[in-house]
Amino acid sequence: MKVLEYVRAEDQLPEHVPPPGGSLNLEPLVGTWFATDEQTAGLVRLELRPHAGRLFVRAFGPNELEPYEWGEAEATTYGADVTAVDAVAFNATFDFGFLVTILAGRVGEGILVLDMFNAFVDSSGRPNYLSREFFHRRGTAIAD
Amino acid sequence: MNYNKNSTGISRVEIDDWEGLPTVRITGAGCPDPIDWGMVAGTAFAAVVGGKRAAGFTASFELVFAHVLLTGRLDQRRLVIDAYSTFLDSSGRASYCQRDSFYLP
Repeated sequence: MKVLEYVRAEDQLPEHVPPPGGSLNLEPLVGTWFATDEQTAGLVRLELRPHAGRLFVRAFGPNELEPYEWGEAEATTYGADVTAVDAVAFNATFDFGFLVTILAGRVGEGILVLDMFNAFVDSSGRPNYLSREFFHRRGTAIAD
Repeated sequence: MNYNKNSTGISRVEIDDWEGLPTVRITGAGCPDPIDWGMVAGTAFAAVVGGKRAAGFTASFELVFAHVLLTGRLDQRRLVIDAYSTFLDSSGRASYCQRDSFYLP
């Protein structure tokens, strides 16, 4: 067995297991996800769409009339381990100029758990803060 | 320290305060010896808007063969860390996310 570079045992492939190679299957993540808390002050909706084997995230914050669209960012996707073929998690960064938000999401049992790390990069002195939201998927997947 | 002494992921996390910035040192589970990832500066986050007390952090490790983003969050007295690893080499390993839970001994 070829010894691969690693910084923890989990990085190593199990013996006699070939590396999966290629891109992860994005199907478990793709679709429109809605916050389980309809009164949330965080994000009300997430749209995760595939394009050319990559995943793009569109986020929507709460607003009086229509949800406030953050725009779209490319995500990095992750499986459950080094032999994974299905994506189960992602992260994406939204840079608003005054604020940088990292979204870190993970899907399990039909629920998307999203951690949001908000770092202010202006001179307002506002402390960085984090939050967590839960989402469920409705409707069909968004096509490539 | 990791609650799971047999974890194959991160075995120990050391977080310190360097003039208001968190520094993060990671030790990975290795065989026969643990593996020191080194130390990086991270970013701290409060649990609420306007909060003054850190309740989470992010930190990135740029290794020769991989990039690892760590996100940590306090849950009561437990620190839960998600490690998002992306391999930069040609090994064909899948990018993966692993969660570990830690306590202060």
